[in-house]
Amino acid sequence: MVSKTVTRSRLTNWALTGAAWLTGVVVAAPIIWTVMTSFKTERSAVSNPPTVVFRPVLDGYRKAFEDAKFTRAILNSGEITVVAVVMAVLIGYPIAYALTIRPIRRRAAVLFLLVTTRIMPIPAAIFPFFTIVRMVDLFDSPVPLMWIYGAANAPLAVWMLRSYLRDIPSEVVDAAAVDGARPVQVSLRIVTPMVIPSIAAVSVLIAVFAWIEFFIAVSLTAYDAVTLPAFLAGFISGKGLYIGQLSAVSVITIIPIVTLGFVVQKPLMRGFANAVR
Amino acid sequence: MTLMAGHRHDIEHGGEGYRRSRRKAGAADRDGSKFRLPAVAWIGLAFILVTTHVPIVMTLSYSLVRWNLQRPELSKKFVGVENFRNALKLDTFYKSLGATLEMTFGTLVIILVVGLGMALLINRPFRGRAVVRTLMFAPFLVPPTTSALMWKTTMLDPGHGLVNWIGGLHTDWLAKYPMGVIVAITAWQWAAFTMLILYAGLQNEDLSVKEAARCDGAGVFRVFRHVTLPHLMPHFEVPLVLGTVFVSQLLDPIFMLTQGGPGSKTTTAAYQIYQLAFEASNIGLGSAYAIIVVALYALVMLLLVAAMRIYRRRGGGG
Repeated sequence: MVSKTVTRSRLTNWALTGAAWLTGVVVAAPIIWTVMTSFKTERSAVSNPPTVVFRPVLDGYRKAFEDAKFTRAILNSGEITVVAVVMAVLIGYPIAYALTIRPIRRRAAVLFLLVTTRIMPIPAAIFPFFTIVRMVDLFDSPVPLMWIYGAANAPLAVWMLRSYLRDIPSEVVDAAAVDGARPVQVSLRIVTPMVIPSIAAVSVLIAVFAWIEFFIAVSLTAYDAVTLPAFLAGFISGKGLYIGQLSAVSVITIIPIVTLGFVVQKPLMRGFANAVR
Repeated sequence: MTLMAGHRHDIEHGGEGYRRSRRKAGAADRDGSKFRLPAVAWIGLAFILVTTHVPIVMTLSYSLVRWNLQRPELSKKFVGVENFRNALKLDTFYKSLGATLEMTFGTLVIILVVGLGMALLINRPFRGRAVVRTLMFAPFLVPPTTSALMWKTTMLDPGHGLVNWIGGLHTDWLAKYPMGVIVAITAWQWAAFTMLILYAGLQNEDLSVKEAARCDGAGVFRVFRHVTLPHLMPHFEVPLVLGTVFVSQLLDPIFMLTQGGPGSKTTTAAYQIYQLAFEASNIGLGSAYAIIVVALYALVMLLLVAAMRIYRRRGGGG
């Protein structure tokens, strides 16, 4: 795996590089192919054999945006995602801080409580959600989705932020405390600025989860508050035949998180690696 | 995974200005520190717990009630464990557990093997490594609904699908291998995640140990087997635990592609609960079912955690 030794021949190196590239392309093929299809005309999108060389057109995108429900879904998803991320981080950061920088009593109990939030299968929680949302007359409103995504992803924020906060040497915190800084000052002036990039990485991860959530969205919305994944579910039954348009819609659902995801790939990786160390 | 991570790391910032060893963590946990959870954190914690636990309690209470929306003539009534008894009598209950196992286990095996393979492939310097890593990681960032849609319409379509074209086949994949397709699509996304975690683990590896092993005459495979793999072992935890949690509860591809069919071939426990509650409108039975499934999940997670603990104690891994 490491090519520093001389024992490995050049040929093996070439083969391994080729294998890596081939695997990468094969793995990403569905995405690449969907992007290509999104620029085809409906006719060439379903041609058999598939067209590989074609003149790109924007028909699919144009038709996708003509659908008012689709543009609404984009706005809803964006809005819900942003609020959920802000909520999850605002809730999760103080907890992660209290569990890591200033370890509190009964940490284990708090952590255990947080783990238990993840074992309920969503369909089992959906009916209570549905009942409550109906009761308070918030069906088809974005508010319950913001609330649920924010609260349900906060434990993830805690877990990830803990793994970053652990990287901060306790000497830094202690030194500030010795200098007479109050805990709140230590937190806001010293520790928090150090983990801003990590908070960004966590935010992206939560944004991904909020952006892709399907089941709760499809159960609690109908038209006004419909999110992109819920919109897609309706799309498949209604317009399954318009492959070009469908691919354009798919590409649009992918672009925001793929872009964000690449920006923070490295800190994300470090966070996960730290979490297991 | 928070559970496991928690026990191991809680104490690293003991506040006394030194890091205690991992071994002592358990003991120090109990005598604890002088700090209490600050108010902000309390509010947040309460908020989380209300949102996630109130539904559980509500589901529990529903499970003890006869409540079928399609049969309003049967008024809501406390029936004790009758729903549970009925759930356990259902043939579909065991079938759905089987399907869940099939889906989860199949996916896990693939993502661990493929994820490891991809991580190893990019764990050496070569031209375009960053691009390849990006290509490999991309599937994880695709929403599962989109992923199901993409695979169905552009990759696996029997008429114009790319897979049949490349393979020179005329297979209707979804009709022929419904569970296989769901597993493949799910694995496609989660292998990317596994790759990223294991790659991060490989990057942390102490190269001097590997060099030493190689100098002692160990071949590539022996070094991998005895040095790299043990080092990597704890890193399998995250994809294993997260994968189990997410994959076993995954509804998107089933909803989008098969609706549980053909027959009940792809009706997993999660989908069965959904059907009972939303399609059959049998809230009582659906809730009882959900509670049983949650209990089984909890059991599986505990076993997983215990297995990892034992593995660690026996000196494996980090």
